[in-house]
Amino acid sequence: MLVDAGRLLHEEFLAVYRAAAADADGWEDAAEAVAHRVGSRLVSARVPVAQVVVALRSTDRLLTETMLDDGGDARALAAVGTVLAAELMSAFCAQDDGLADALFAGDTPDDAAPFYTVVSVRGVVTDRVVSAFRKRGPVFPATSGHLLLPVAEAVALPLCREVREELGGEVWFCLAERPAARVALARNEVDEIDALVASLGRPPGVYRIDDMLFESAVIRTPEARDELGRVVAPLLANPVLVETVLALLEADGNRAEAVKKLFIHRSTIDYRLWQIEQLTGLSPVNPRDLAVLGTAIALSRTNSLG
Amino acid sequence: MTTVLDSLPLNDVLRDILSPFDLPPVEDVATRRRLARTLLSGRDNGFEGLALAYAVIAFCASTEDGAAAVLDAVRDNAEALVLDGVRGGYVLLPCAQDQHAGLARELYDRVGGDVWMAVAWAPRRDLAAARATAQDVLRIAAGRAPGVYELRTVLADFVVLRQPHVAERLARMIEPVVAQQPLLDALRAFIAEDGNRAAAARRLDIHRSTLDHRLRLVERLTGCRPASPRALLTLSVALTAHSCPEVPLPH
Repeated sequence: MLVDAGRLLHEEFLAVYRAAAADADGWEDAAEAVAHRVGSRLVSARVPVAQVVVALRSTDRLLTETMLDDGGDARALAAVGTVLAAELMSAFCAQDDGLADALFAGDTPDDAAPFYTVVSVRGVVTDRVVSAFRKRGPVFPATSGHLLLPVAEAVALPLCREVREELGGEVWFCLAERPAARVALARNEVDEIDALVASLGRPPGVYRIDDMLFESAVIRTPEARDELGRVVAPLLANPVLVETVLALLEADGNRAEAVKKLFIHRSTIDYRLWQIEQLTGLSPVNPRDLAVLGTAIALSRTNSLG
Repeated sequence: MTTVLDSLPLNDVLRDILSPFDLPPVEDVATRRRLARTLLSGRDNGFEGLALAYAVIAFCASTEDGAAAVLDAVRDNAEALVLDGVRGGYVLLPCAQDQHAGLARELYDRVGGDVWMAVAWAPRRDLAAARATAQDVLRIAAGRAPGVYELRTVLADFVVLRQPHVAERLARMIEPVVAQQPLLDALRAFIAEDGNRAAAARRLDIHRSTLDHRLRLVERLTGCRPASPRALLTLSVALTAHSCPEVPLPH
């Protein structure tokens, strides 16, 4: 359900400002109670905190001016805005404390969302990322440095791309979604993706398991892992051949382009490709075999092949 | 007659030591088939004449005659053990490590025709795993040109078959392409021609720019750019994940 934060604040806070303007007994307690209730409601409706801040500012200005015009108590009116703002914001911060850690530890609090997207962060301090996300909606940081977003992966993906764009620089995000009770699995998944992204030297960006399906499936299949280890072993002994595979892969299998990158003669690369095929049984001229060779080299660098 | 070792005749003892391949005669097809089945199911019955390690060759053919040709090729080989079905089966050949691909290719060259072979190697006690590997490799190979395949040549497809949640994701990704025959044909041809556009266009008898256009549509639908080797591998594996029929192998 969509919540109009401005209208909600105006409706709920009107009585509080009236009480403060009249400096009626107990208006402070009432203000705290109302702000707390409204804060929880906004949090559970996932209204972005930035939107709440804007709404709060305009509501406060409007109500204060109206009450002052009616000859309200100026000192009390100044105070009521602070009390409401502090209480309202505490609702947005209170949830942060330990929720992510509790979920990772296997505890599912009653107020937890049905599912979460776990985000791993590399290349930037977590605090900056947290505040960038917080401007757009609720985010729960864990002590492990992972972030939890109470939204589906499909929603988190554009959000992460946006935040990454805003932060700029060499930043990698990896994300995975799981139901609240199994977010620890999502954390394992993002860690696995991140390790692969790092070792495969993939450019900064936002990654999901879809981008690493083959690699992660290899790691989980013992027969394939062993076989890939046998494929790549004779190559690793020859750095020139490794370099050739990687250059050819980067050139999308285009030999002429790879030759330029490697500063070698066309016949030299042909000879090297022949050698690679003799050693591995895979033909680097075939794009699928080339991709497998590249993966084998990358995984061997992560020591994933045993 | 001299007797040694618990009064066994010397000749028997010498035979056990000197001729390790003392299997039932090739004419005794039923006993040999039972033996192959036992080995392939992972039970090593300790039969005296067995080798330490085997190449497991799973094969299938488009016709019964094709399968019969494979069996004919090993019929007189006293070392080969066969578990045969209607249009496919398993051949077990004693084999040293790293020799299995060559051994299978030799057999394939003698048979030829529309026959697919998948070969895996294992020590005698691990033959059940080798059989499972050969079976999955053959399933994947059956969707490609006839020939000899081993795990490394179909590795990406193999891991996806073994990880159902990955297969599911990929099958979903490729679904919109499979739903449009011209796109599916273009992608299949491009893969079969190892990423050679001109050859793929010739194979389909369409203009090269038509092929390029269809491949661009494939990219738009899947997010995978066919010109990139990695993405082409993903697309190719996704097609396997989408449909990989069983092959006619005996149980």
